[in-house]
Amino acid sequence: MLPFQTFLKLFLLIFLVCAFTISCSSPGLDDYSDVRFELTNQNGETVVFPDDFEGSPLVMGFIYTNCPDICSFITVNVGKVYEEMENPGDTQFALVTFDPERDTPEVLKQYAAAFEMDKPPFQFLTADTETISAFMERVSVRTQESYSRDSEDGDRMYFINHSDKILLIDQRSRLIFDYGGSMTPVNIIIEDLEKLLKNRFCSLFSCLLYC
Amino acid sequence: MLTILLPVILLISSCSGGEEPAQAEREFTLPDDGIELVDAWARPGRENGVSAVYMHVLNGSADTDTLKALSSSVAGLVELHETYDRGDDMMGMREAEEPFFAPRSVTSMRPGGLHVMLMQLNRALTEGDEIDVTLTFARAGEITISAVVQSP
Ligand SMILES: [Cu+2]
Repeated sequence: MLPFQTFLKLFLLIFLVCAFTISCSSPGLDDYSDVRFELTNQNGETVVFPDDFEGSPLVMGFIYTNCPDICSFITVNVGKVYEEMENPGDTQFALVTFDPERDTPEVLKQYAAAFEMDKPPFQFLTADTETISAFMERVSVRTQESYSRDSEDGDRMYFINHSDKILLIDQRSRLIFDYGGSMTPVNIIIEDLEKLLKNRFCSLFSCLLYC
Repeated sequence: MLTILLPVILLISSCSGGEEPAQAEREFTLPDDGIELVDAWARPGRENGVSAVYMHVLNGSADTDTLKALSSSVAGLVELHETYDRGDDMMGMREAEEPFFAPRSVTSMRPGGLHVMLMQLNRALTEGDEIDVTLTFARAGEITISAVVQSP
């Protein structure tokens, strides 16, 4: 028979561990851990979503480069989350195009350079048309070609109606939050991201309690 | 015990969401007559790509003025566009239907709304670059302004 005091301590310990586990785990709005999309970054390297991002939080925006208004602010907001974070840790940052027809890796590289984001930890991603449309459907980004016309030099010019989104995905490929991409104040994304990074400390802490 | 409680408190305090202070509206002094273009700035863009230019159009005249033409030495094609919320969870962009500037009024081109759209850029635009844009109004005539490329 355990002395009452020891029993009480043990009970308290178990209670705290439980409280921590509950407060530290976030349920997630969606889970991408069982999908697999092969994408290509601005350097022509293959990047697999979500496998290649697993283990780090991921901030992901959706753009097409022929969109100087909304999409340029989505791009810059993703950049600002990194710039303005005190300790981004190993967080990864990606912008995925929903216009693979025009946004080739070369085009994305020039676009990234114009925004001074052609450097780690930023990746600009594209793929073949089918992969991109399946990917956009999976992450609930809606797109629809609006109007098109032929320019004088014979190129087809078109614009795309699209969702305005930035996603925050956790270390285990779960969707934590989806933000309005172009107008969301970045400090809100930073706060949520810092919570995710803190959670890692959390699990370490509860581990220590067990031991 | 304190060491255990501390992270709990931190966790609770980090739950409160931050709120952005409302943006102060800028005040303008209309010109006595004609049109004045102020605070022009542009977005970064890649060569062969696109950019947007924002500004405030101050119409000091007692009459409505209309935008007739647009040009820039860095772009093959320049149009007045507007971004709009389609109400179906998507944002769209179209040519502005009515390039009219009411008498004694300020029309603001700003992110997520009206913009001068530069297409077929003949060079890359990066932070700090200065570009020219010429707007031709029916009454006020041709006005050329310079816009600085800003990335935030
Ligand atoms: Cu436009």
